[in-house]
Parts: sequence; C-alpha cells; structure tokens
Amino acid sequence: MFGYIRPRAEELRVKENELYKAVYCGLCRTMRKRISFAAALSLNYDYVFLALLRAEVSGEVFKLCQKRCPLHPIKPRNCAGAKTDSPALNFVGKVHLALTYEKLNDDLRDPDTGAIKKCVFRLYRLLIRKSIKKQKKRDPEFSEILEAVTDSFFRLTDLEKEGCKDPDELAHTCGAALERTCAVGLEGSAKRALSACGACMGRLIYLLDAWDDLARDAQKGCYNPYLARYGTLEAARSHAEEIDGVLSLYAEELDRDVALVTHPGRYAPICENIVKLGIPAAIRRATVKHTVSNERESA
Amino acid sequence: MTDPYAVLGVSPSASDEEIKKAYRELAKKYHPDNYQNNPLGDLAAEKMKEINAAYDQIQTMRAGAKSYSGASYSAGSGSESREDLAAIRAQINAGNLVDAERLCNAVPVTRRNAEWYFLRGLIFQNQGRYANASECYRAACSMDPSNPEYVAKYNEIRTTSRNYGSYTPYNESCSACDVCQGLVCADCCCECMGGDLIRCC
Repeated sequence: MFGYIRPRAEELRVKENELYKAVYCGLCRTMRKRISFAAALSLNYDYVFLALLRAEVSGEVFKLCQKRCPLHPIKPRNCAGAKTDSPALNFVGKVHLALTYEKLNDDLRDPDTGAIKKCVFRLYRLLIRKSIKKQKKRDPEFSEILEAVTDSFFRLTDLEKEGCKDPDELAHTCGAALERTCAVGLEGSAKRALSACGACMGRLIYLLDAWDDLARDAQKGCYNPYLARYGTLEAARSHAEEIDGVLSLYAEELDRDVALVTHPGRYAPICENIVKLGIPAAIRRATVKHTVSNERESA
Repeated sequence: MTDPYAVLGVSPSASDEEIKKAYRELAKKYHPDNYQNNPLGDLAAEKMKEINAAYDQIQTMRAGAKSYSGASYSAGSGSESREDLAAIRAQINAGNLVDAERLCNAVPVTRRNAEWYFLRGLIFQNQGRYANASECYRAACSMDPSNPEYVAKYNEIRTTSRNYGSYTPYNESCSACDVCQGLVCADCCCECMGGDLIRCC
C-alpha cells in the first residue's frame, strides 16, 4: 500500500480526526510491541482504513488512552488499543508485515534497483525475516495471510516479467492478494463484504500507483502496465481522461462495497470521507501531474 | 431461439410504441414485487428474464436495422452476425456473463463490428475490468461514431471522474502572493495619508 487511501483531514470532524490519528498511533504501537519493530518503520496511513473496516465488521470499539512513544517523547498522544489488546490492529499489523516482506522481495528481484539500495533492502529484509519467523511460530493465522500475499505476488511478478499488456489482469491479481488476506479469520457475510472491499482496494491501489509512477518508470525504463499497453509516455498521457475515468470506476466499486461494511457503523463517517473525498483527490493529483506536464511540454 | 415478438405477444410489424407498451405490461405483471412471498417467485423471475431478453433483442435488431441500413454489408454475413450479437446481448441482460463471453469470443475476428466491441465492453464492465471496457467502447465509437448508445457509454466512463468525488474544499484563492500584494497596497494607502506601513519601500 502506498499512501493513497487517506481522508481529507479538513473535512473530518475534530473528534473523527483525533480518532483517525489515534488508530494510526495504536497501529504503530501494536506493530512495535507485538509484531515487528522493523516493520513499524514502513507503516503508512493506508492501513488505518483497513483497521477501521476490520473493526467495523467485527463490532470492535477502539478504546483510546494517552501514551508517549519514541517519536513523541514529550507530549503524550491519544492511542487506540494500547491498554487492551485490539484484534483489528493486530490483524492489520500482521497484514503489513506480510506485505512489507513481499514488497522487499519484489524490489530485490527487480533488476532496476540500484546496488546501494539493494544493500539497504537486504539488511532490512533480514530484520523483517526474523519477525516473520517468530510470528509464524506464534500464530497460524499469520501463515495464512503470508501465503495469500505470497501467491498473488508471485503471479504478479510473473505477469510483469512477461510484459503483460492488460492493466485489468494485473489489477485483479493484486486485488486477489488483499481479497484473500482481508477474509482471513472471518466468516459468513462479514467475510464476503470485507474480501470484496479488499479486492477493490488492491485493484485501485495497483492501478493508481502505476498511473502515478508512469513518468518515473518511463524515464528509468522500468515496467509499467500503462507503458506496456500504450507504448510510450506520450501515448499513455493522451489517454489521461480515459484512465482517470477507469480509476474512478474502480473507486466507485470500492465505495459501493465499503458502504455494505460500514452502513450503520461507528466509523462510517471516516471511511466515507476516505472513499468519497480522499481517494478521488488522490486520483486527481496523479492525473493533474500528467496533464500539466503534457501541456508544459507542448507549450 | 424463440421468437422475441412471440414472447412479448406482438406482431413483428408492430410499432416501437406498441412493443414498449406490451413490454411494460408484462414487466409489471411479472415484477418480483408481486411474488415476494410466493413459492413460484423463481418462475416469475425466469419469465421476467425472458421478457427482458426478448425486448432487448427486438431493440437491438431494430437499432441494428436502422444504423446498418446504409452500410454496404453483404446481406448474408450481416444478418448472421446480427443474430449472434443479439444472442450475446440477451445473455448479458440475463446476467450470464460466462455464456456471453464465450459467445463473444466465438465470433470470428473478421465479423467483429462496432456492436461486437460495444458488447465486449459491456461484459468487461460487468466483470469489473474497466480498463478493457473503456478500450472496447472507444473502439466501438471509432467504428461507428453516429451510434448514440456507444458514444453515451464511452462518455460515461470518461466523465465518471467528474461525477465521482467532484469536490473542491473551499475557496483557496488567498495565496502567499495575495498576502504580499495586500501588504503592498496597504503600505501605499498609508503613504498617501502620510504614514508608513513597511519602512523599506
């Protein structure tokens, strides 16, 4: 996950914003204390959304308390799930650990990664691997999560290596990773709803990331599904309107599925803000980048 | 395949209005709401599907007849492909995406016209494969730009971004530049009155 799934803070109520930040603090704390200190370093705000959805389907209520941490040593911050163990935060922490590990493996397999970067990544992977081994022993659920993520990432890497020209195929493969992970440990309608959300989220994140990184990938000569599809950066940019529309369709699908999870729920306003305002803003940011630089070049 | 006109109970020479009326009456009759607590609800749903498929098939056939009447198709292959496509459309409307996709892929490449691309796009969209859907709609539009259905669908995708999350937080017109401008103006005013706000200018 890459930081696209965030709310528009100015449109959140103050207490909602407080809760959002507290869940993030709680997630970071849970990662550090219970799962993996190393993986906590690469945490981002996207996972808060997943934690909120997970709490929503299981009916969990986040309890806040004031805590200090290495990043905020002087003024204590509101923190969720610090006193009592929170299943939602634990679950999301495990998902993050598995995804971080696979992302590192993926970057190391990539021939375009520089030598110095590779060294750093190897070191980091060593630390993460240690936590993974520990976690595997302690928790059978984690093995299930890791397996789901690994399977889909292998398939994704294969598709990328083949130079797959179908963005939908890649997006659906990435979606399958989150679809399976989100469903771990759930049953019945909760499982169906949350795995659908996961699938949509995975698809959207993959394509949005590809669209966002298009210029960089073209410059470096890396694989990008839109480059593979349209050939050149200019050709891909000339379809900006269409790509933007397609991303919005994926986002709308996510919106419909999230509505089924959060319907009368406690965290519905935050989730709604993320899906209806935050994600469209992220899509727009990526598209504007392309249309503006296109105009600049042609001027 | 059964005659769609027979399903609706109208003659093939019936006008569009007559067909619409017949369809509405039947749809009202078999609407799922009427069968909510009825054990035969599934039969009614089946009927409803048949009626929908028949109506759509007639619509397609008539739209096809209108838009292709001027085209220089050889009569044989033209009507053949039209029948294929009507069957695909019926499958899509009935929700059988797997069958629709199979039928779609069975159409040979030489007979793939604008309608085929449009239907392929519909299937992709229903499967949640939006990038492919939009490409198919684009192809359909470029092959037959006069068909309002294709153009509408393609524009729908392109304008989704404008309808979805079209939101501007607030008037963000006051930038750092505006602040400086305001200060300079205030300084000028003060100087006019003999005072000074910013000493250096």
